Amino acid sequence: MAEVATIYRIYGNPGVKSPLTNKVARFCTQDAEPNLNNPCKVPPAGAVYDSFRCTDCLGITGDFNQVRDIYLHGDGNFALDWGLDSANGGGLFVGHKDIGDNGLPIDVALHGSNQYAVATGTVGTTGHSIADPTNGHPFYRGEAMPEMDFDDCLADSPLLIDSGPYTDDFYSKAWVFDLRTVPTSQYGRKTAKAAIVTYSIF
Amino acid sequence: MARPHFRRFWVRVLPDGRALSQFDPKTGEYCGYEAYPGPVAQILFYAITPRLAELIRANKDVAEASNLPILTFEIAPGERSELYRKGTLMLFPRRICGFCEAEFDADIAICPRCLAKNQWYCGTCDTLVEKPLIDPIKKQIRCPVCENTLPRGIRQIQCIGEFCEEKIFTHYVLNIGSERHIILDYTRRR
Repeated sequence: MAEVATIYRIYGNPGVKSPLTNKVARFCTQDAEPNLNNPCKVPPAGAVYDSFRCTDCLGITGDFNQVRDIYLHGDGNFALDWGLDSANGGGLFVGHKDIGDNGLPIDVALHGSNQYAVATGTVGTTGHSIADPTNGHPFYRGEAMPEMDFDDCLADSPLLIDSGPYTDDFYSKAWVFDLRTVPTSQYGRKTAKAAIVTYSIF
Repeated sequence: MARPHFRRFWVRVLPDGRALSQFDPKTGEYCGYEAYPGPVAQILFYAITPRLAELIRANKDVAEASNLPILTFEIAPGERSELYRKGTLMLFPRRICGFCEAEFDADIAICPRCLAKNQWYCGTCDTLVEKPLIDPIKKQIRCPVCENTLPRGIRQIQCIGEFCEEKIFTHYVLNIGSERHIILDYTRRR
């Protein structure tokens, strides 16, 4: 049987993986599956709000010799389609490392360490951004460029999450999203959009 | 939980004339690898036939018959070759009707089968409202009919749900010497 691939979202402590199959993955201001609770808010003048950080990974099972080179990209229009106002700092951001894989190690056996960190912030209002010098993501916040605009991760310049290789069923390193709203971001319901994961299988 | 969607498959011909196929032509079973460590003389890509698609589906893989042309690549003795597959996993937003369970695209607001749609109900004027007034400052959803007399909050009657469907699109990459060939699972109109 060929491979079966699933995207998981990780919540809580120590980090429980929930498949996103048949669900809608939402950004919110709580560290749990939100449904329609605690949606992201547009901040008052002078403030910037972040969603709670979202940690996602790819899981692959099945028959293969090797899987490697896992990349992530979008269509480059998240900020535009969701009215986040990128000109004033709003947008969808993803954790970035200055060198090597941009993915977050989440499994000691597979990745050498587990750097997963529970998303934090004020429930119902704002989360802590990836790059926050004090409360940001411990794996990324010390980098020269701890986050990048996901709209810059395109099909011809995708973000390397995990170079692998894996020779048996695995969870990949994770990617960490953070949705940022500014006072000029548009209020209201947003259309669903897709983040695209690619991998090479041998 | 998504599986790759196959529309063509490879056959690897070894220098001694033996052929290895990605899917067993008699059973439809997946061979379990794309890479091959030994020398290869030729790699061919065939369209999945209706019969093979049935066999593949019986093995819980996903395949669709196609009329894609046969592609043949010769590999000279001693020349290096590498074949692998690229998977592209995408989440497609979809909607499902709570009345008739029809599934449809996320950009359609009304169920195409039973015409159900998400609306808001005002208990004061006893009407269903499709487009309520949204007040982001007071954080209220109000009835547009009652707004001029006695502004009222309204509640949503949700009958259309949302979910994401996962799909894996797949294509092959064949490197022969310094040349790279991308073998897509569709034809491009020029």
